[in-house]
Amino acid sequence: MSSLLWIAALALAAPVDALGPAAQTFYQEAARAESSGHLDEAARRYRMVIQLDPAFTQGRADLARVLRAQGRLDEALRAYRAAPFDAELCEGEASLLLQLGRRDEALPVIRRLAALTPESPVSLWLEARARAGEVGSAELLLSAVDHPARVADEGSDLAILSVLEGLAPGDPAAEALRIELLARWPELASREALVEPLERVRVEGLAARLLSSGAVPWTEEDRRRAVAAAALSGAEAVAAAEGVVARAPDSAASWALLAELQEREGALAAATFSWERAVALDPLDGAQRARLGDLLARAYGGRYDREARAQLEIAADLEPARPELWLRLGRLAQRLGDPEGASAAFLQYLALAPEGAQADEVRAEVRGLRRDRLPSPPTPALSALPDGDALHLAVAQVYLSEGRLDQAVEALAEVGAPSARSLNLEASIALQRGERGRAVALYRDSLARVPAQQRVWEVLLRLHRGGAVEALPVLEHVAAGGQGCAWVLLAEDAWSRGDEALTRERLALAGQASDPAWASRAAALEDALAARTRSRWRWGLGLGGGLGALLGLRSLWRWRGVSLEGLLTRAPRAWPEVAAVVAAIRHEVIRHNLSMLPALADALEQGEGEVVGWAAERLFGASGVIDRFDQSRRALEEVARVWGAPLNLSMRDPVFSLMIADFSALRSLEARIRRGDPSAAPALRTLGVRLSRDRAGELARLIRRAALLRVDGQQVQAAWERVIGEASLRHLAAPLLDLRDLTAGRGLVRVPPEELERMLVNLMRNALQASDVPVVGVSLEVEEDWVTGLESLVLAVCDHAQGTLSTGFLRSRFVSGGLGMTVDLVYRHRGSARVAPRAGWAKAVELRLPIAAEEEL
Amino acid sequence: MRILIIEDGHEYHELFSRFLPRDQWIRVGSGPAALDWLGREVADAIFLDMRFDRAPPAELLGDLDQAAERFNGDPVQARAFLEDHQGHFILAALRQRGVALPVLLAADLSEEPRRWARLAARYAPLDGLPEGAGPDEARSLLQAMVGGHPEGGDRGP
Repeated sequence: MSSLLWIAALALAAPVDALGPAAQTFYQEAARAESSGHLDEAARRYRMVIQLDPAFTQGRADLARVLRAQGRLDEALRAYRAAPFDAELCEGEASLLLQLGRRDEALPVIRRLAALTPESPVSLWLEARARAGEVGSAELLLSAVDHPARVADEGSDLAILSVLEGLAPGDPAAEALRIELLARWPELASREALVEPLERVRVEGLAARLLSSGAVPWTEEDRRRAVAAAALSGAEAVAAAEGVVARAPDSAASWALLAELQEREGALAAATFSWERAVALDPLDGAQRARLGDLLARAYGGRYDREARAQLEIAADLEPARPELWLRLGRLAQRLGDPEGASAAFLQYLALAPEGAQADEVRAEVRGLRRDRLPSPPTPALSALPDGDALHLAVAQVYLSEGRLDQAVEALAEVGAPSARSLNLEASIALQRGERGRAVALYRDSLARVPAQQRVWEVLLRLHRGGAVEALPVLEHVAAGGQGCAWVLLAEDAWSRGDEALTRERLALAGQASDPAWASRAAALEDALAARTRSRWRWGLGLGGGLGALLGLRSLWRWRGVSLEGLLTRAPRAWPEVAAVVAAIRHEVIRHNLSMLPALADALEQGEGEVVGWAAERLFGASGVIDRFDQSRRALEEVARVWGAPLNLSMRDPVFSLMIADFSALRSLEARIRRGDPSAAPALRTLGVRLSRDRAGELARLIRRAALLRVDGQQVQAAWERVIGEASLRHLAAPLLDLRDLTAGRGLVRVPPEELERMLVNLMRNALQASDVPVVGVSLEVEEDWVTGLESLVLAVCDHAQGTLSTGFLRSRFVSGGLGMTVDLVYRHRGSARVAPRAGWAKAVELRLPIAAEEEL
Repeated sequence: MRILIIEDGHEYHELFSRFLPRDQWIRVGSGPAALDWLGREVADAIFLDMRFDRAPPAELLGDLDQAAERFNGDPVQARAFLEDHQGHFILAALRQRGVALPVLLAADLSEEPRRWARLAARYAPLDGLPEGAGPDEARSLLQAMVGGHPEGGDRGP
């Protein structure tokens, strides 16, 4: 695959915002379940998200993480492998394979990851980990350490520890590698694990030196010669000291004398060597170490500052009451860019010498080290840079989804003028921090800017129901401003509290909501009110009394909600999500499993215990067919809830109610099947036919019928009339539509009518605005894929605009109005958009939408 | 009968081996593995699954770039498309390779008879497994195709 395609893939990697409403709800619920430790529930929800939007790879990564946390490693591996060209999933797969010790399998995945993310060191860390114990692993590790984009995290930590563990115990290469790592990356996460063995080596070395050397004292003659040497000057002094060293080479004092005189004479390299020798012979002498440290810091232009600091630190440990050591240590730490270390050393100095000659200066420095910068002045609103704001918002959203609230706040701070979206994000952060009052204030601000935000209203209402914040007055306030959606929410609130009169009153105030989702919610509430009235009347007549009313309410409660068809009628845009769940039921529940019921009946009658046991587990075991059906059913109900038309599958849906009853009957056979009782066979045969043939077929037909739309010239003409009637285009003289409908009645697609009209209107408007010639051509053609036999409707809008619009540009637009919105809509309906040459025109924008079978109508 | 099952999981193989033990069921997990196997071994017919969402990506037949073009260049959806329709891609590769064995496809296209007619003509001898069909029915369909039963061949599911 070309690299351009990968770039396109990255650009298309759907953020949470791009999910449909139901998937977003599931995603948020999954995240909440995960953060509260309910991993089973979190996994279930993440699966629903994936089911609804298989292209949302973040959901797969989240699912895999949860499964890993549960120890369900095979399942996690499958989740990672579902999108092998997604970098995050690749990384997870490789890391899990390494965790499982499957290095050979991990290596090709790591190579794929390297190709996907050449700018990242992650593949290097993983490869170093995979090759731990092999020649070259240390070099790989160091190349990752030197990578400009390195990050100290668990991945780098694991790689470092794995490579070190791969080296033989006591191998000098391990110590060298530790030192190298510490020198190249002082802030690495596994620093302590590296320092500890090195520290042990150092201490053991010091102890050995101490045992073998420092105890050799000067003789009287040595001492006399030393005094004489110190009295000399220049080269003579150094030569005399060398004589002392020659007489007493194992005495630290001899080397210290020589070092002192060499330093005095400016022979700094030789002096360093001599001090090191003295320190080696008497490692517990703090003064000698301090001298060595000072010399290293002073004489080498900063190259050995780290070594100097190490010597001074040991000296300060050995002689902690010497304030000047702490002072020097602080200066050195400052020079090394370690403000915390400098501050600690300076404070130690001040504690020992509060009136010292440099105490005031040091105090000022400590204050400077602790001072925080004032926040940067706010960035002025840059209305000309909406893409920049969009990027910051997206970054904040990502951080928020990862629970990195501080980073999310930082990203939000980059946004220019606050918008409804930025305020919503800020409110979400506040909520996660437990600042409910602030969250409500922010949501109010957001709603004041954009009142029609269903999700925000719902959150506000939930906050109110949680009892922590009084959101109701907020709703009432806004509803009084004429917002129908707020009245619908208030009506629902009244309904939930059993106040019918108030429900009616508020519904009346809601009027005719313009948004279909709100309208369907209002309609559902009206239905419920009407049903309650009917029920009460019926029961009032029949039984009378309190018991009747109670039973009536119970009955009403059971009957509330709509059928699947009702849902699709009220919320046609829910179709893709509903279809995804129903497809899963048909494929994974029925086709893969229930087709065996008649054969299982045969096996029961023939006493084939092994086959029966296997089938029983597949039907009734954990994650068995029944369990999966229940999960899918819940998923449908959740989808419906999000679209504002609660489902009642068991009472209202003609297909599902029977299917639920059949599953219930199947469940009731469990004990007999597990016992191998052949009396269950006839029922199994009946259920097999009913479920896998009748119900599945009915379900498929229902889903296929819904949201079908025939695209033909008439519709194109209607969209055209609308476009040329727009105020901005009324000035055009004699705009002309050149329409060619070649679909011959085959242009049946699964797109809600209003969305198709939006696509057509956008494309035609764009064509007219971009060209000086007010002529637009539209053709409808059918194209067949040879391998699969699938047909696509090709809707081409041609114009005479001499621009530079290309396919890449078309697909890369940030989704907003116009073309970008059209591309987004096409993509959501599993279609494609591109720019193509067309004879007689400057270009054509071609939309390809999958055609549904004509027979489905 | 000796039937080659091409499926990414083991469901059909387990099902048929358990319920139809008198026939010989051999399973391979992908298109390339099937082509390889058929280059070395013989079978009477092929049972072909449609959806291969558990197969390693390297073993999916079909051009990912070309498939991506269907979905605005999105390789994730492209891969899902190849997985969902992998049965067709394997079928096309089999016929292109000259494998003329009868194929029973684990897909019910009865709701799309025109599409099915095109595919059945293109990939004959081909049959489809109806919705809800169990092991016995699958075997009957295979037997009909192998034995040249009049119901075999280009009959729609």
